Amino acid sequence: MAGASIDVTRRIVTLRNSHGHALHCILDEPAGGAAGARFAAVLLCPGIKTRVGPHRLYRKLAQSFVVRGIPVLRVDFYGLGDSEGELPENRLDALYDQVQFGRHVDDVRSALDWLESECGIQRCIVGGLCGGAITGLLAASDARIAGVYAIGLPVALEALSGATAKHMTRGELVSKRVVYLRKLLRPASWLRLFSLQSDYQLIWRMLSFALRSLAGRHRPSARLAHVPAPASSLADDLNPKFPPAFFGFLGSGRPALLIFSERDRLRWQYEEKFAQPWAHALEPYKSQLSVVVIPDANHILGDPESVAEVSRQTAAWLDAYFPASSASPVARGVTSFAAAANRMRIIPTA
Amino acid sequence: MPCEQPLFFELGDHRLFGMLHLPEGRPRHGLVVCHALAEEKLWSHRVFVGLARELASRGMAVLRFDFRGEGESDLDFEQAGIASRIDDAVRAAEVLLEQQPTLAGISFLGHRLGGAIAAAAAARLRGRAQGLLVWDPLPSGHEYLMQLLRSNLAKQMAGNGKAPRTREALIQALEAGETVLVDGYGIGRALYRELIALDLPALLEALECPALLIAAAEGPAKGSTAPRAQAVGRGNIQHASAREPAFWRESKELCRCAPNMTAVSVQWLERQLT
Repeated sequence: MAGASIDVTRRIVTLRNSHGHALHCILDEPAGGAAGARFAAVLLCPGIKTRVGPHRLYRKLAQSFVVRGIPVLRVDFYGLGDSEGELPENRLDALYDQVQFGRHVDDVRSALDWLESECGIQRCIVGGLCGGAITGLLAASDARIAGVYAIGLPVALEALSGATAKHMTRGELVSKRVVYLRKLLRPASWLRLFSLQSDYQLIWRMLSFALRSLAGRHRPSARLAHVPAPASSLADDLNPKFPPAFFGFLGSGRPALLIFSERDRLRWQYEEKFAQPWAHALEPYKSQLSVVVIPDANHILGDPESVAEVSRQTAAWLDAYFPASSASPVARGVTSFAAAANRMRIIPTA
Repeated sequence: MPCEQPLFFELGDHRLFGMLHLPEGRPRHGLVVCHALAEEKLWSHRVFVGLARELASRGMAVLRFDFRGEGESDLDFEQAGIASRIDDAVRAAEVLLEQQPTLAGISFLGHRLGGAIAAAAAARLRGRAQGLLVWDPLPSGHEYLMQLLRSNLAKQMAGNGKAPRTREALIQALEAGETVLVDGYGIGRALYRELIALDLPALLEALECPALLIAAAEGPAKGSTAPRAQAVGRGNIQHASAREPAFWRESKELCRCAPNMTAVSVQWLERQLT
């Protein structure tokens, strides 16, 4: 996206987490600086892609906040980006699972402490892409978090699910099935099938899913403590930390914006592994929970149209829940936000 | 104890972000690190954090920095090109020399595309550049562009199950002035033309300082034998290879160091210093 037009001042911030690691962050400030702002946003390192994010996504997203007078602190967690410390994992899926269990929540608290002590900011919107999103949600037991801003929020554990056929959602299987049906018309695909090059596990999953759907089979539901009972069976790879964190956050009355990409499996995982089993329990929180899907987007929002749409949705959400005149989140801002969100395809919750 | 200091430095009206890794006491050498392009930079980031820390513990001052258009530095990606990156590398070297006035000169280390940038910057600095290390050199900008476009094709395939815009069509689009996306980064006509004109051997011809080009022999670093610093070359250019996984590409591994490339580099730098 060429030609950033708004006035952003970037300042290096080095803060220390509770273990003494120096976390090197960047503070994107509006004209007039960050001190005394009503809210700040904290964008958290997505996976290992540092505080700029893939294709510098966080710098682009920060503009929607800064233009509204909301400074943005972009954080490199310990062991990532330029920050001190080392992570013990050798595999990314293992790291991602630790992130989903809350590995970096302590670093979020340190960032909130810094904003409070150095800028006098006591209310923050926290989140980011993927690992940044789940970390923001898990950190939201801290009352200084006024809202959760989550792009590609993961609900399933990576090392268990990954991209393997075994844990694919119905939505993923259906979209794959369309591709495979097209392949039936191609001789090369039949050649791959008979020369043992096809993904037989995926093909079997698609077939067995179709058969199970016809037979109407369901597995008994698992139970999680401190959350409403789900109406249907739970996925084996559902992050057990996710439902309690999500319902705990919603129960406090704070707003969340969940943005998913249409071509991202995380969209289906959220829908099928969380939103559908708890559809009834989520009903009372509709006014706080804004869920949008960005058409044709991939996980990293890798084209300018997707980024522009996310920026537009972010702006509408901020205007609805964090208007310039208010020092705390607006409890019922959904009407004004819905006007923007209606142009998007909202994930069905039924 | 070595220390790390983030900083912004200026180049004209623009600011560039850098991380200065300083040894305990007076540094005996300086090294400027020129990163790879776009997502390759992000995937390999932590490897170079580790390298800088290792070299700082060995008494060297290391400046890692973000080219304009990348990381925390000014300009959008589409506004920066090869020429601006060479200017950035030269300026980074000047900053390191200003910050550490006891240094007689500096060396460059460039990774992938950063290797060609580092070579051009070292040639421009003449006597102040004392050495050049290139990790996984890209001999041809044109070939590299083809690799980048493969990523665009993969994205098309992921979305549609086919790639309606072939590589040839993408090149035609670039020639016509269209911006082509690679992992979310826009490759415009200016960068495209600079890329296809990039010729590492020609850049090395203009070099006055010694250089070591280390090819990455792909494969797991674990279990490999001692690095083979088989420097074979003429004049001031030497070649070596080191076994490393492709830590600059998306992988299932969390790569925090490149032990074999680091070992070859340290060995060579130490030899240059004595």
